[in-house]
Amino acid sequence: MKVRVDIRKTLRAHGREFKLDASFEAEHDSTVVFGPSGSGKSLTMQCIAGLVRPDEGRIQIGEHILFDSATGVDLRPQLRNVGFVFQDYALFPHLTVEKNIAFGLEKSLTETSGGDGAARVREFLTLFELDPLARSYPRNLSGGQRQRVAVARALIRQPDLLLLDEPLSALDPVLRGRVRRELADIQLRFKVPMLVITHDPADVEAFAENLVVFDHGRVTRVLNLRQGIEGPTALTRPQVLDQTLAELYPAGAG
Amino acid sequence: MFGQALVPLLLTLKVAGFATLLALLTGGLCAFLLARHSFWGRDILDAICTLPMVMPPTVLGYYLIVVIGRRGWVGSWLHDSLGINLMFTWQGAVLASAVVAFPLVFKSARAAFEGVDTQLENAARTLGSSELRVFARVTLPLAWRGILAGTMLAFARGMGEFGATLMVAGNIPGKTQTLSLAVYDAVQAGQDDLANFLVLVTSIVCVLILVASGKLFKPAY
Repeated sequence: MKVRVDIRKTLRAHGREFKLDASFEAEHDSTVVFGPSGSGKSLTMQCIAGLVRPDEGRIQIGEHILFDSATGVDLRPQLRNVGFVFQDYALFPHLTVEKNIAFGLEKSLTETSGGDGAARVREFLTLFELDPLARSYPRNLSGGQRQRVAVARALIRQPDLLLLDEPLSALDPVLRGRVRRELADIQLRFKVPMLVITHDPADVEAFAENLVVFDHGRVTRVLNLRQGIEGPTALTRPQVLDQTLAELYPAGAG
Repeated sequence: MFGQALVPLLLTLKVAGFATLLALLTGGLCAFLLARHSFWGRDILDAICTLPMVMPPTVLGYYLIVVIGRRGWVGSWLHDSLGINLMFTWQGAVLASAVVAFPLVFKSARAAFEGVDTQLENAARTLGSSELRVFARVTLPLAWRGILAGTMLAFARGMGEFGATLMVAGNIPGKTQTLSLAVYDAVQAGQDDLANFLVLVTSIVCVLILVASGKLFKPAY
């Protein structure tokens, strides 16, 4: 599913101003949003999820328009069907793993259990290897386990798009490789379009079919890596990556 | 002596109970609005909500007389159209105690609401929860301990209320004479045994409440 983003937003805080002017199209299911800290990646994600309102522009997933300042469309986050895995995972500390995962399936104001939802939750617990932890609370989980809960919680709603804000940055380096492979597996299994924020080049290697490069609040490059690899004269992925990195961090500047 | 203490004790529990309920509802609502919404005059409203904590209770009592007294803004309307009179009634005492106890609920509830990570509320929104459900399933469950702790402090404060209650509800034995007023009367009349007993009862109840609320102020997660 094609994701189209074309938004502008100006933030002012403590006398400083940040201008976001992001415009890109992600054609493939796996898009990596890459760039240094403070370049507007997270803000763009929050705009897509409906947590921050852009000043103007348009956001579209397939034919589904989420935001369009020209026609006054601005869907509430509840109606966007966009899954969000937050950088610190934002698991509900007062709910068990099981109830965290079930949260998005329920509508009622009080706790409920049973019904079709319960079977689905069990299925997801198994799928994400969380069975033995079903009744544990998030504070008792390791970083990798928390990450799996956060992804399961978002995916159980069958979102049209899954946003992951630096999903690996909270993990130690040893775990990072394993979780990276797990995420790639999930992508294949669920066939859900993913937008992954990162500033780790290894993530680009692992996930990117599309690469969107942010710098100073602007999208500086949009690369179609799949094409690049398939084409006869095209660069290989590492070459594209090296080139991009060289542009972002010129020699001697960092 | 026990009988002499029982009447004001029961009246005190009734007045403090209703006053706490009133303070919880209004204080909780104000706290949520100020914690989650930014608007012009928010700091001024916060100061006004905190004012009863620092002002002399007699001054608060005077304000209440101006508002709900028989010739007051609200009081005259209540009397003329509904035949209700709050002055020198236990309901008046409830109102006086509620005003004095209000900041304790308000302050604790505001801190409790602000202690809830807005990212968690956002996560609930992206998971399809309505605003009401976000409040019921995320915000309130994470904030209730702090709110309850403040509510218990408000109850303890309401039990000991003296000045504002005296101004608004007077000191009528069996009708508006609460524990703290009864202690004053007993001391004035030289009934030291009764005064000792009333003081002991009040102290024990207040210590129990403070111990319980102290436990609740500690974070659970």
